[in-house]
Amino acid sequence: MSDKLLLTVIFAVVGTLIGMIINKSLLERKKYFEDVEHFLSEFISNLNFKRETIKVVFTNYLPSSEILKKQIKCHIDNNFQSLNFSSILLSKTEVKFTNDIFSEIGLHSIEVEKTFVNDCFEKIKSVREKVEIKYKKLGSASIKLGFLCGLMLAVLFW
Amino acid sequence: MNFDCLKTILPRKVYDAIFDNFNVDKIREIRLRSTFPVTLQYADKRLFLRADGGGREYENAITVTQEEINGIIINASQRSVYAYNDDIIKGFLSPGYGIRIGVCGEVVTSKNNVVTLKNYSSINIRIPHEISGCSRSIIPDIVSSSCKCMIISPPGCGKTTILRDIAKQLSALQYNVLIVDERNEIACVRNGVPEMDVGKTTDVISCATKAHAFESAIRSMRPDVIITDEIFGKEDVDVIIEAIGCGIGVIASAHSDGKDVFEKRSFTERLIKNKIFNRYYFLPFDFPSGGKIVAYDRNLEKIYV
Repeated sequence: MSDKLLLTVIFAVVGTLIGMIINKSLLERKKYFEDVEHFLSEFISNLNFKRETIKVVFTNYLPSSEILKKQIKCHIDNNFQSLNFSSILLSKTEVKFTNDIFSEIGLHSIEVEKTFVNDCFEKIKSVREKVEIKYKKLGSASIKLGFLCGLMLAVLFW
Repeated sequence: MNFDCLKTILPRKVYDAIFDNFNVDKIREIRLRSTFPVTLQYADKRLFLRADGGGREYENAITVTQEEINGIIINASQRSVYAYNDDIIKGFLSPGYGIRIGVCGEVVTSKNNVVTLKNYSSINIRIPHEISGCSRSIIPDIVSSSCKCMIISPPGCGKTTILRDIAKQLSALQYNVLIVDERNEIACVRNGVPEMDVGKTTDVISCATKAHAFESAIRSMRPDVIITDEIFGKEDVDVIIEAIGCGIGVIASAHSDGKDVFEKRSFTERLIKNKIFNRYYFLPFDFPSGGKIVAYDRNLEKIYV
């Protein structure tokens, strides 16, 4: 009996941990896209007023997301040439999408640059909204679901 | 002079051909035209650039593509073309160290305003030089003529170089000199510090229009002498007349091939008639290699060589 109880606790804990990992990855993705959106809005404002070079813009930006922090560092280290950054928390399409944005920034005249960045901002905004909805739906639920799945597995083993 | 920035700007084949075969101190201009041979103004010679040096024949000369010219603009603007848009509209770009890149391309307009340039077709990279003491022979004359004078020569004969040296010499005489550096090629200010030696009592307003710079300088900086380059058109003459009317000396430069041609420029008659400048100094073609300056008085009568 005590073995079965112990097994139940273990399954419940493992399930909860898996749920927490899923929750964290969803949260990181949400933070990343929020941060990219914030970066682009800061850049739009910079284009309108200061017009600093991309080196200054990228170096001065303080990312709150760890993924963006690594991506920006990679971009600076690569001397702002084409980016080859990847992250396990982002899909290939998502990584390519943001890598392309960062690589293309700065290559246009002011009017084209404004249009380009505004366009990117809108696209990122819609991605961020989708990621946010997904996080709201699955974020906290994933912990509960993980816990319940653990319990269900334990019941199956009883 | 630091030419490191050229390494990041120029295509590798052009950079290597130049720096492997030439004394960089003698290079005045590097001209790159889409699909055509690269040319160098090397001291007094115009050469086609080849991988093994340069020559007067264009066979085997290095050519560049439109993409490479585009790449030069992107690199010179530190991959921030938008940040240099105002300069590009005026047809130039200053990547630093006093290097100025003249740009040609297709002009994009909107509501009769030039918005930008696209499809860059050719560029001219001008390398600045300092010839310390090149204005020494005319400094006493400039001082005795109340620092109201004009330096005139064809392009590439040393107007900017002599203006830079005049600033330094007048500064050594304790004048408060102010340089209105519209294209940032006299003092070559980078991060607030002039990269060229323009004297210790010299202030610089860079990258502003002459009208704006003269007004703010006169109102706030109280200069003894304002030095500016490339007078072009009625507006520039208006601000110079205002400054001289305020009792400030003005030393300006203008493009012209000689006295006869200069007299035909649209603003010359007004300058002579109103006796705005006390001296006109014409630089010869060989001024950088020691040619003598020819001086004219306020009525454009020759005084001395």
